[in-house]
Formats: sequence, structure tokens, C-alpha cells
Amino acid sequence: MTEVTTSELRPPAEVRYAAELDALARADQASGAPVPPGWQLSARAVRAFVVGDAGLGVTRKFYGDDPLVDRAIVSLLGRQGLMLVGEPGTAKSMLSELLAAAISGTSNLTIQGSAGTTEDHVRYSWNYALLIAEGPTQRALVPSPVYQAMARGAIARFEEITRCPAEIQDTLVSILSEKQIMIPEFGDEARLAARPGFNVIATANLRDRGVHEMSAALKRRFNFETVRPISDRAFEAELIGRALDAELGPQRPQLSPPVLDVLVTAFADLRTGRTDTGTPVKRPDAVMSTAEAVNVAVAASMAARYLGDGTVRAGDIARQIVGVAQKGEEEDARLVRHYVDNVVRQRARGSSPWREFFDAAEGLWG
Amino acid sequence: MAEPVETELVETPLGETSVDLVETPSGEPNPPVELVETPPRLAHALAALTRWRDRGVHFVGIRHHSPGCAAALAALLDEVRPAVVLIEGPREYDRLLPALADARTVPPVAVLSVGERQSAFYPLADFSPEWVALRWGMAAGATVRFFDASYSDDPDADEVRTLQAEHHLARSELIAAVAAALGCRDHDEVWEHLFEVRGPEALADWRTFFADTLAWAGLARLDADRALLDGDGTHAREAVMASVLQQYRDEPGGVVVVTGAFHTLALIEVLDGAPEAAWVRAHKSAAHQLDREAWLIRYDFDRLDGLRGYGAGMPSPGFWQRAWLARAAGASPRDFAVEVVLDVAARLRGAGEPIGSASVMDAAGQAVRLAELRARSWPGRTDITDALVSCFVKDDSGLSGAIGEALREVFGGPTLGELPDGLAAPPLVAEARRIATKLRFVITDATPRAVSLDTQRKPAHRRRREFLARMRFVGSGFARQTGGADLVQGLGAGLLFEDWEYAWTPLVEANLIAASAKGATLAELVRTGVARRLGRDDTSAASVASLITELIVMGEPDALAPALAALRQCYDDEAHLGSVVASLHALAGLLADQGRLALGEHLVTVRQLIASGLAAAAGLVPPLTGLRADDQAKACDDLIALRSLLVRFEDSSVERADRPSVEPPSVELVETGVSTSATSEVSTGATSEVSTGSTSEVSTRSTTEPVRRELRRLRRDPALPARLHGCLLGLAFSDAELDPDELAGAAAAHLAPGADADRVAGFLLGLLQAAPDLLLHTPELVAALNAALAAMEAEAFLAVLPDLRRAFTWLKPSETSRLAGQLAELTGARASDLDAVLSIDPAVAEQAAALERELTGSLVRDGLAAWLAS
Repeated sequence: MTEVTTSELRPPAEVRYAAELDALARADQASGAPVPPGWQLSARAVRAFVVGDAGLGVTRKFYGDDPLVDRAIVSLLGRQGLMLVGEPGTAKSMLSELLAAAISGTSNLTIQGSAGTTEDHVRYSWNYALLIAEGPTQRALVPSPVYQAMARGAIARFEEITRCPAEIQDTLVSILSEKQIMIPEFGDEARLAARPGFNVIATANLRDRGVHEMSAALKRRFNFETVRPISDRAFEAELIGRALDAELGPQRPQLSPPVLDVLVTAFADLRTGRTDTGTPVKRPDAVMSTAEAVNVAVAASMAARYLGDGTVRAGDIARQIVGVAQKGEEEDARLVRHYVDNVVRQRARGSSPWREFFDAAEGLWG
Repeated sequence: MAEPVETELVETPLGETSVDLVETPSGEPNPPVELVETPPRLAHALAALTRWRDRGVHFVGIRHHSPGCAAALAALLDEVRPAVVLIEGPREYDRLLPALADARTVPPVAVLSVGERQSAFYPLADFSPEWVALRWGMAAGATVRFFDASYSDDPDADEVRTLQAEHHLARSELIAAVAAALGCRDHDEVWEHLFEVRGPEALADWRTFFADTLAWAGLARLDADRALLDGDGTHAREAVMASVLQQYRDEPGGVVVVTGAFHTLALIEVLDGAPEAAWVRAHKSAAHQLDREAWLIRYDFDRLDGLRGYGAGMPSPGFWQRAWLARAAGASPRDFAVEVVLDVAARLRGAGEPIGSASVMDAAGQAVRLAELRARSWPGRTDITDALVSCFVKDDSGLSGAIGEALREVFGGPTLGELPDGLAAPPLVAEARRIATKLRFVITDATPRAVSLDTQRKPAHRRRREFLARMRFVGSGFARQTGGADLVQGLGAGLLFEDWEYAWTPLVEANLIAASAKGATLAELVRTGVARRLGRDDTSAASVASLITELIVMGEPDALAPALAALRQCYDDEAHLGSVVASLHALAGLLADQGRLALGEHLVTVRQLIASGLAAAAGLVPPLTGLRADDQAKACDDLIALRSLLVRFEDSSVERADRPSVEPPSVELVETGVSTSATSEVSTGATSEVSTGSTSEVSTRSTTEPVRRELRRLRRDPALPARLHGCLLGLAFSDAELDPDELAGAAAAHLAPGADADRVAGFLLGLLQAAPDLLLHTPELVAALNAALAAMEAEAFLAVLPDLRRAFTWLKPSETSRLAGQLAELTGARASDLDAVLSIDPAVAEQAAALERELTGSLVRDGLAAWLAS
């Protein structure tokens, strides 16, 4: 990873990985790989940026599903937009950011969808002071991220598209099919035509509470890709370890493999609704994603550093997991308690980390 | 695994792949893989491959059902024109070569090896390298030989298996590591990525191609466990192949050796006398069993598919068949992608999914671009699958929805191959196919089809049903009854149609071939089947009657005689009333359903049997009196079934009483008019109209009377257990043999105050089981019962309470409620009081009851019993 000195809390991908992008661009030039119109890198270089290329010193940033990355890149080469769907915490937004950074050199042409998103956020709006002073001029027009992406031939990102009302989502329908925006304020037939390289990556959650349905017309204009949670527990443990290193630095409180295993196993059990021996477990509504597991590990590490003896124990993990599960409904707390009372109690008999986990979780309920 | 190496693997031609490996000694964990240079063993083999090629021995390491291998092999054969072609496959298959070479044989077909306990398939598709090799060799006049060990049963395998299993490849950890390095999902995609998607020129370059396949399978060979290969017979088979190869190696004109690539390394080493081949050389060449049975059968892609069931080789044969044809026709990658996507889209549209032409073009374009991104000259299976998922799936369901089903249909498919008539197929298969075709069953593919047969009115439908039932009886797996009137199960009486489902799958041919050992024709198979069923130790009247029903449903009157004789014998020996009654019900069903059956001359015999059966039943009634308590419940069931049988016969005879002309008083009457000509199906149809509905002219009251008489006698037997007595009283009352007063009088004996509690409970159990609603309609009985229960000692009452509870479960809930109302009236309580639900812990109630008993006892002891009056 490239060291970047910046005062930003979290610089965008194209800044963080500037050196890697540079290396890939040079490799493209050297090999003469065809670069699609409007793209900064060849399709294979984009792929390498996401899944890594040790020869060029490019790190792997997205784990678990290489064919998905292939499909996403190829979708962006075509007429269709790319819709990334899946459970929360499966790195949809990260993948969208990486693809935009690699393809267009910027991941910042982003609409952050919410219930308050309006059509102006998708098309364009006006600087009303200028509008009154000069009338509808280019200077008075405030372009949306999509507008800018069309003008530059870049990737626009639309985060959490299903959080917007369906009629706002549908603004994209004609933009995606005609690849132009009409601007009647500028006069007859005034329009902005998209330059090559323009496309849209949307991320959506299909099952969360408070999301809106997508219209069939909008769905037709997107290729859907489902980003699935990581199913390999050993691999998930490795990922969490790496994320902790990145977050807290190498001097982080020690998290021993058995304790990490407790964390990963508990999350996987509650996420999939079954233990690795096949015992069914009731699934809480709360999101038990890898990202959430990292949050738990970070919080447990913090607790160990500032409140404990500097070593993360299974008890710390238990206290944090209970917190995650209790974000949601009363029902969730009951389900987690049921999990602790049955599955964890059983495991506590033969394993000291699970024993600690059990004791700490029991204590929380008094 | 170190990442720099992974890229190297991608970019280095496989023949020069840098891999440093030592074959794993068995039992030890794999050493860490260090990919530095070609492992010596593989390097030697690759050098030897070239050396032997120059000497005229061409090793062709293939994957089964790989069109890439088939294309490269075709190029090799055309260039080398060898004098000898050796193909991996049991040696006894040589005698099938003429049939395989026949122009009328169209894949997919399979050779079926039949062993003692198992059978195994050796499938061939158009694009199987083995098929290409044998067809080329036969056409060019070369010597073609299958050179693998004879088929033998594998004690560890499933009942049906394939001879082309490739589990060593699926198991290889090295290939799994290569898959991870290449971003492939599994070993199948690795194979596809490295071989199947090569361009036409690369496929024609067979020297490179087969050097690469050797290197690729060598990876799996190097990390395979030697002891495992010894144990599963791989080494033994390779010893056989090597010994045949030794005979032909110096043949002028050259020899082409087509085997699974996994074996190529070993064969080269044996030929070279390399030390690594000691494992193989240790095996003496097994004796060949050239007389092993092997048959050619039609096969389909569904079963060829390695992903499903027990197939092996490349998955998704329907896809590769299309690729094979498209490439042979010189189509472009895009044309090919469009064709496959169109096929899938057509099925999705058929399933009601709106797929526009634009989407089809998008998906095809997506597939081609995916192949380009993955550096493939041709779109592979994964590229097209990925493209379809991207473009057609509009949610997070992935392959689980309609698209998955459509893909399964396109990539599999039930279309069967073709074989020349009468060629290398046992007569049994030919016969079954001939009859099935004549009866207009579709047997050109393996799709399951449903038929609804009006066997009551249409003789043609009856003949179809008879064939389906016959195929079911011989265990071919061709047909099963799914609903409607089912005489064998005794279900759906009164329904007009019979619903069946059938499918001519490769398994049907396999089953018939396996069954050929037991009989050369269907009729013979039926006869042996009958003999086997009758020879069983547990033969009973019921099982024989069920067999008779099956035979009649099959329209096999010729096979009936031994079964009928056996049933007669059963009636002489049978000790179980239930079995006799069940058999009589089956026979009665036959008579009632004559309309859809071909009873023929056996009608008379069946009637005679019914008479014998009834006589046997009558004889089995008296011994019931001595039954132990455990057997009484079963005896009640039997008695109830017997009574319903009597009613069944008598009802039809009552109806017939108006027509004295057809009321033969006994079985001795021979009805020649019916029996003469009923054997042919046409006349059966005619006969059925005459005899429809004549359940039993023979079984009038005169035949049922002995049974009735025995039942009456039994009822009056003072030693009869109470439960059976209750049951018989209930039945007699239902048949109006008793009036309410008589019933109440008979019941009084059991229910009199002070009667034995067990007896009361048993009586009630029997009575309510036989006639549950009796209590409701007979107030006298309720009163007697109430008095008897009230007079019972508390302990005695508690002891029989479970039985009493069970007795009352014969009532429906609404009936229970009505009975409770009557009882409330009788005792002066309100019905609502009885309904009150007290939620008291049974343990607490038990304590309270004990306390009360103790209190009462102490009051009585103290002479204060008067206090208890209230």
C-alpha cells in the first residue's frame, strides 16, 4: 500500500493507491494493451488493480470472487450500468470505488442516495443568484455528479440507490438509455451528450428496511451483480487480521488466533444460521457482516488497550457482539441469548476462549 | 502460495510450467509447494513424450468428453495415420466395435458393463476423444483395441457408476492452487481456461496440446497418494494397459494411445522402465475376462453431465456439443455465443420471463468480452454462464432462479442417442422398445411424461396401462403410477382415470439389460418374478392376492395360474384372519373393477377363490376367543375389515336379488359364457361391458352366511374377551342384527355395577372401535355405562383410565361434545361445567388426590364417615 501524507480521514482510492494506478498505466503502455475509449487503464489492468498483481506490486483489495470482478468490468464496457447488490458490509461500495478509481481516475463523482435525494441531485440544479443575474448560463448551472461524469466520460457512482424514492431513481432511466441530458433552459434542443467512458455503478440493498423497490425499466438498464459474504471462515479470520493491522497499526493489542476464531465463528454462525457442524441457529436481523466483525474486533482491541491489560480476550469480543446484536429489535437480543445459552454453553465446556465468552455474555444479562 | 509464481503460471506455456515437486510419500502431508523449475519427473516424461513420438508411439492424454482434446486428436490422426489405435476402455468392448462403427449409431450412447452386483457406464458423445479415435480407426482400417482391464465390480462404488471417473483431478491440491492463482472457480474452469478455449490453430497444434495435457495431469499425478492409487486399482489397470501397449509399441505405421491424461505419465514411465513405475510393474497383469457382458445402450446428456449424479468427464455436455458443432461449422465466437444465449433465452421466454432481443445481444457481447478479458480465444462455459447471470438476472438470486433451470436444460438435455435396430442389444430391450413404440409411448428422449388413461372405457388405454404395469413389475424403472384409480394399492376406487408417469432413461435400458440374465422376454421376466415372489418365506394370503392383482393389472393371465394355486394353498394354511380378509378385499376389488381389467377365464377361478377364502375366514373366527390381550386390538381391526368385506359382497348380491336369472347360489356354477373368449384384449373389452358391476354373483348370502354364523357364535361365547365382545356387539348392531334393547341387555353384563374394571374398559374399546356413534344413539347404553363407571373403585378407575380415554378417541370432537351433553343431563350437571378447563399441574392434582384419600381414610377410621355424605 502506498503511504500518503494527508490530513484527510480517509482519502479516496485514487489517492491512496496512486502509485499502483501509475504502475498499471505504465504497464499498459509498455504492453500496448488496448485501453477502452474514455478509460484510463486497459480492462485487464482494472482487473489487476482490484484483485492484485504481485509482479507490478499491486495489492489485492477485493477478496472472494474473482469472476464477479470480471463480470463487473465487462458490464461497464457495455451499454448497461452496473448494479452491485448484496447484504450490508459485503464491500459493495469499496468495489464501486475501486472500479471508478481505476477506470476513470476518480471515485468522487458520487451521489449518496437517501430519502432526501431529489432529481436535481441526479441531473443539475442552478445557482439561483447567478441564474437571476445572468439567466440560464453554463456558469449558473450546478452540475450533478452524473452530469459531470457524462461531460468527462467517467464513471458516476450512485450509492444506496434503493434509499431514494422510485421516481428519483427513474431519472436515470433515460440518461442510461439515451446517454444524454436535455437542458431546455439553454434553448431548443440543448443537451449534454455523454462522452465515451461514461457509465454508472449503483449499489443497492434489496432487503434492508426502508428501501424502495426499483422499477422494471430501471432494472433493465443495469446488469446486476450480487456481492456475497465470505463463506470461508479461515479466510475471513485472515481478512479481519489484516483490517485490524490497517486500522490500528502493527502495535495493536494482541488478538490471539483462538480468540479471533471465536469472533469469526460466532459471526459466521449467526450470519448463516448454522454452525460448522450443521446445528441450526436462529439468525438475528442485525447485520453480521465481515465489516461488522472488523468493527467488533476494533472495539474489543480498544477496550483491551485502554481498559484491559493490552490483550484482547474472548470476553471483550462477547461484550461487543452482544452490542452489535442488540442494535436491532428486542427479538434479536433474545436470539443471541439463545445462541449463547445453547451453542456457546456447549462449546464452553471444552474450550477456554469460549468459556470466557460465555461468562462475559452471561454477565451482561445478569 | 507465493504470489510471483502465480503470474508465472499464467504466462508460461504449460509444457514449460515451472513446478518443483516431489511425489508425496503416502501418509505424509504435502510438502510446501515451491514453483521454481519443472519437477524432474515431469521433465523426463515430457522429453520421453517427444522421444516416443519420434519412434511412432503417440501418447494422447485426454479429458473425457473434451471437445478440445477431440479436435486435437482428430488433427493428430489425420496427420499421423497410425496403424494401431489403443483406447482406454475394458478389453471386452472390442467385440462392440462393429456396432460402434455402424453409421446408424449416433451418440450420446454408452457401453454398459454388467457385473455381479453393479453395472457401469462408459458413455460416448460426438465430442468424446474416444469416439473420434474409434470412428477414425474403424474408417481408416486401422487396428482399434480397447486395452484397459476387464470390468469388475467396485465394492466401494455406488450401485451404478461410470468407468471414466476423474476424481483424481478434482482432488488434486496442486490443481486447486493453480485454480486460485488463475482466478478460476475449480479444476473444471482451469481445464477450460487452459485447453478448451484455445483457437482453432492452437487446437490443430496437437504436439503442443498433448504435451500440455500431460503436464497438466502430471500436476495431479505428482501430488496423488500412491497407496490410494494402489488401493483403488489405478495401478493394476495401468499394468494391464502397459502390457498391451508393449505388444504394439513396435508396430510399423505407428500407434496412438488414447487414455485419460492422468494415466499418460505412468504409461510412459512403464515403457521407459523408469524407477517411478515400480508401483505399476508390481501388479501382475490381471486375467482378462473377454466374455464379460457389455452392451451398447442409448444415453443422454443429463446423465453425461459430470456435475450431476455419477457422470464423469467435462460438465455441461449440452454446451460442449454446441461448441463442437459450431467450431466444426467454422462459426465465429460471437455467433456461437449468440446461439447459446438464444437457446437459453427461448427457454426463459417459455417459462414466462420477458427477454428482449437487445438483452440477447448484450449477453452475447458480454460473453465475448469476458472471454477477451480472460484471454480466451473462444467463450467458454463459465464466460457464457457469467454473461447470462449478469444480463438476465435482475436481483440477487444468481443461478438459483429460472435461469438456473434454463441452463440445466440447455447444458444437459434428455435427448437420447440412436442405435441400429437389433444390434448388440439384448432381445429384452428390443422387445420393450418395440411394444413401447407400438403403444405410442415417446422413447426418443428421457423426459418424464405423464399420461392419464381411461382404462374403464378404452381398450387401447388398457393395453398401455398393462405395459406400464409390466415394466414396473420387472423393475425397469420406466413407469410408476402417480394417482387415479390404483388397483394394486387399493386406492382411488370409483375414479375413472389412471394417472401414470414414464420416462425412457438410459437407466431403463441398463435395468433391462441387467434383468436379461433372469429372463429373455418380458413374459419370462414376469414369470420368474412371480416365482421369486411366491418362493419367499413370508408369503401370506394378502401378499399373494396383491401379486395376483398386479398380474391382472399387467394383463398377464398366463402367469396367473401359479399365483392362484398358491393362494388356494394359502387359504388352507393361513393362520391369520387379517391376511385372509386383506386378500379377499383385493379379490373383491378385482371383481368390482373388471371393467378395466382382462380377467378372462380366470374370473371363475377368482370367484372360487373368494368362496374358499370366505370359508377359510369362517374357520379362523372361532379361535379368536382364546386371544391374549396383546393381540386383541389387531383382532378387532380384522373383525371390522371382515365385516366390511361381508357388507361389500352382500350389498352387490342384494342388488342382484331382483334378478334371479343371474343369481347363482354357489361357486360351483361355471359361467362358460364369460370364460370362453376373454383372453384377447378386444374380446375383453366386450366382455367387460357385460360383466361390469357384477362384483360377485357368486357371493350371495349363502357364501357369506358361514362367516356370519361363526361371528354370531363367537359373540355368544361366554369366554370371549370383553374387547372382542364389544366389537362384535357393535358390528352386529350396525348390521341391524340386534335391536337397542338387546344391545343394552348384552352390555349390561359387562357394565353391571361391581363389574371388573378391565372388562369395562375392554368392552368399551371394542364397542367404540366397531361403532363409534353407537353411544350417541343408544341412551340406554350411556346410562349403563355411567352407572358402571360411577360404581368403580377409585384405584380401579385410575388403572383403566388410559384405556377409557383411548376408547373415546374413536368419537369425533363434535360427537364427544354431544355425548358430554347427554352425560350432563344424566348427572344433573350443566354441560358448560363439563367444558370448564382446569389448568392444574398433574403432579399437584396427584398430591391433592392422595391427600383427599388419606383424609377420607382417617375420617372413616375415626367413625366419622357420615361427614363424607356430601
